[in-house]
Amino acid sequence: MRRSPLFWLLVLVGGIFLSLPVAFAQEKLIFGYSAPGLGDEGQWNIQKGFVDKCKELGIEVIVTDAQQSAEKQNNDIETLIARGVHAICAVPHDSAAISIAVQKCNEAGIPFFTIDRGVTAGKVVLTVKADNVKAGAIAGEVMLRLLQGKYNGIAKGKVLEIRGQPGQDVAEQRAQGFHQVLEKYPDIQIISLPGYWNTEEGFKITVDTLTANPDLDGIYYHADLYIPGIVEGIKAVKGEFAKVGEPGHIFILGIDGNPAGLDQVEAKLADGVVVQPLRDYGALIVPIIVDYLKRGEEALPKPGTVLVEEGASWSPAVVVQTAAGLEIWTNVFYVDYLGAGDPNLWGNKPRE
Amino acid sequence: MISVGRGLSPRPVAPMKRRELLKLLLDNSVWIIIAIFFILNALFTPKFFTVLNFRNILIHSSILGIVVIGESFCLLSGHLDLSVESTLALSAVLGAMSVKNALPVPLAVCIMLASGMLVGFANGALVRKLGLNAFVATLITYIGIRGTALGIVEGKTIWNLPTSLCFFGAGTIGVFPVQIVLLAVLYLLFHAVLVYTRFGRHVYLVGDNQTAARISGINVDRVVITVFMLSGLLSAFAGLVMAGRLNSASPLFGTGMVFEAMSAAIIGGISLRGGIGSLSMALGGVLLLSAISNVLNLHAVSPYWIQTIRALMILFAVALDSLKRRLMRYEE
Repeated sequence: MRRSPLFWLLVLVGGIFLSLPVAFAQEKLIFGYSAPGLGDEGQWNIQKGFVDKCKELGIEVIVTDAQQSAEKQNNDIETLIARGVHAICAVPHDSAAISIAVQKCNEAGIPFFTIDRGVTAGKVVLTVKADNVKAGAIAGEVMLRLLQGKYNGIAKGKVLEIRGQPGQDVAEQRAQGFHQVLEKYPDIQIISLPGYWNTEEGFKITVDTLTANPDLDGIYYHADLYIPGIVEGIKAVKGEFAKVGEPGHIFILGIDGNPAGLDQVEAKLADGVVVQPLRDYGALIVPIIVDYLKRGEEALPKPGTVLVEEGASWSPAVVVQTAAGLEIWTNVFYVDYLGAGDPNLWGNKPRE
Repeated sequence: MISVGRGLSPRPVAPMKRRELLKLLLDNSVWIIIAIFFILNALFTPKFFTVLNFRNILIHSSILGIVVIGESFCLLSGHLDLSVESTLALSAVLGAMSVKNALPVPLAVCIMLASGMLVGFANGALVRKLGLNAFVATLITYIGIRGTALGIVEGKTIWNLPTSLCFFGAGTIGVFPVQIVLLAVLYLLFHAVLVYTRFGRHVYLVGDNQTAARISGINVDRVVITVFMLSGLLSAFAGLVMAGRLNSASPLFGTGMVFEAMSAAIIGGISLRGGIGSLSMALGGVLLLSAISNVLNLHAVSPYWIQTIRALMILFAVALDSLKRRLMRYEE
C-alpha cells in the first residue's frame, strides 16, 4: 500500500517531537519508573521516594502507572524503551508477566532494576526490597513475648494469622518468618486463613474465627489494611473492643506501617507494627543506578556485604545473591504505640 | 397434546400432584440445598449451629445481599451491571471524605446515594441512548468509577468515621444488628416491587422479550435506566453499610464483589438472559455463598486449598440444582 507524503511527514514530525526531550537532555540522565498501581498507599510512597531522590540528583524521571494491569505494565515499559531512557526501575505487578518487557529491555541494552519484587525471567541488575521473612520473624518474636507475658512465661496460646494472597511471594515470606519462630512452640496454635488483601475479608475471618475460638489470644495480620476489619470484627463478636493494656485485650500486630496503621497503633487499637522503609527504597537504589551507568558491574555491592548509613531507615541492609539475582534486603523494625508517632517513619511523612 | 390426554383420564391426578410438588421443589431448590447444607454442618462443624454463628452468617450476607438486589434487577431486565463494586467503593470514599471535611452526616449520606444513582443513570444512558452493550458500558464505569475513588483519596484509607455514619453498618435495633434488619426489609420491599407493581412486571417483560415489551407499549428506555439507577443506588447504600461496618473507607472496597454478586444471583436461579428468577432465590444464593465461606473459616481450612474447596461446594450446590431440573424434565 502506498502511503501519502503527508503520512511520512507526520511520522517525521512525530519522531522529532518524541526524541526532543532525549536530544535536549544529552547531558542529563533520564530514568523510567514503572509503578504497578499508584492507588495503593505503599506504592505511592515507593514512587515518591524514587522521584525525590532523582530530583535531588538532577535526574529526569518518567513515571508510568500500570493501574494493576500486567499487560499495561509491559506496554508502559516498552514505551519507556522507545523514549530512550538510560535505565528503568519497576515494581512488578506480576513477576512472570513483566519478564517479556524485561527481556526487551535487555535486548535494547537498557539496565533494568526492580523494587519490592523480583522477575521470573530476564536480567535484572539489582532488586531492593524489605526483608519480609525477617519482618514475619520479628512479628513472631513479639507475639511470643506477649503470649509469654500473658501466661506467666509459658509459651502457649491461640493465634489467628490473616494472610495476604496465598502464593504471592510477599505473603509467603511474611508467613514463613512468623511460622519459623512460633512453630518451635507446640503449645502455640496458629490458625492461618487468607484475607486476599481485603479489609472486609479480614472482618469475616475475625468474626468466624472468634466464634469458633472464643479463647483466641492474638491476631497477626500481613498488612495494615486488615486492622479496621479486625477491630470491628472483635466488636461484633464480643460486643466491645478492649484496647492495648485493657482487660480482655486480644493482641494485634502485623506488617506495613502505613499512615492508617500507625494511627491505629498510636491509638492503642493494635499492639504494634513491623515497618518497612518504603519511602527510602529510592534513596538506596537511585545512587546505585547512577554509579552502575558510569562503572558497570563494578559499582554493584558484593553479596554478603552489609550496607550501613547512619540515620537511614533502610540501614542496615544485607546484599544477597538469590536465584532471581542480586538483591538488597533492607532493614525492618517494630514500633509500638510509643514509637508510632515518630515523624521520621514513612507513614508519618507528609505526602508532598 | 399428551398432557391434555393425561389430564382427561382419572388416573393422572396423582402424577399431577407430584409434578406440582416437583415444581415447588424446583422453584425453591436453593432453599432445599441450604437446608441440606445447614443440617450437614450442624452435625459436622463445631460452633456452626449456634445463634451467634447464624447472626454472623446474616451479617456477612448483608452487604453482598444489598448489592445482589440491584444486580438481580439488572439481570432480570436482561442486562449485566459490572460497576456495582466500583460504585460501592466510590460511595464509601465520598461519604468518608464528606464527613472528614466537616459536612453533616445526613448530607454525606445524600452525596453517597446520589453518587450511586448518577453512576446508574450513566450506565442506563450509555446502554439505551448510546446503544452500547451493557457489558461494555458497565465495564467502562467499573474502571472509571474505581479510578475516580482512587483519585479522590490517592489510595489512602480513611478511618475512624462518626458513629452516626456507622449506624447502618455497625448499629443495633434492640438485639438485632441493623445490617440484618436492613437485609430483611430491603428484600421484602424489593420483592414486593417486583411482584406487585407494574414496574416489576415491566422489568420481567423487558428481560424476557424487549421487542415484545416495546410493541406492547412499555417505555423500555425508562425501565432499563431506572433499573440501572436502582442498582447504583443499592450499591452506594452497600458502600454506606460497608464503611460503617469497617469504620473506614478505602477505594479498594468491594474488589471482586461483582463476581460474587453474579454468582449468588445465578446460583439462586436468575437467568443471565433475563426474565427468569426471583429475589427470594437470589437471597438464597447470597446466604449459601456466605454460609460456605463461614464453614471454611470455622474449619480453618488450609489457605492453599480454601478456594478449591469453596469451588467444589458451589459445584455441589449447582449440581443438585441441575439434578432437580433433570428430574422435572423426566417427570414431564
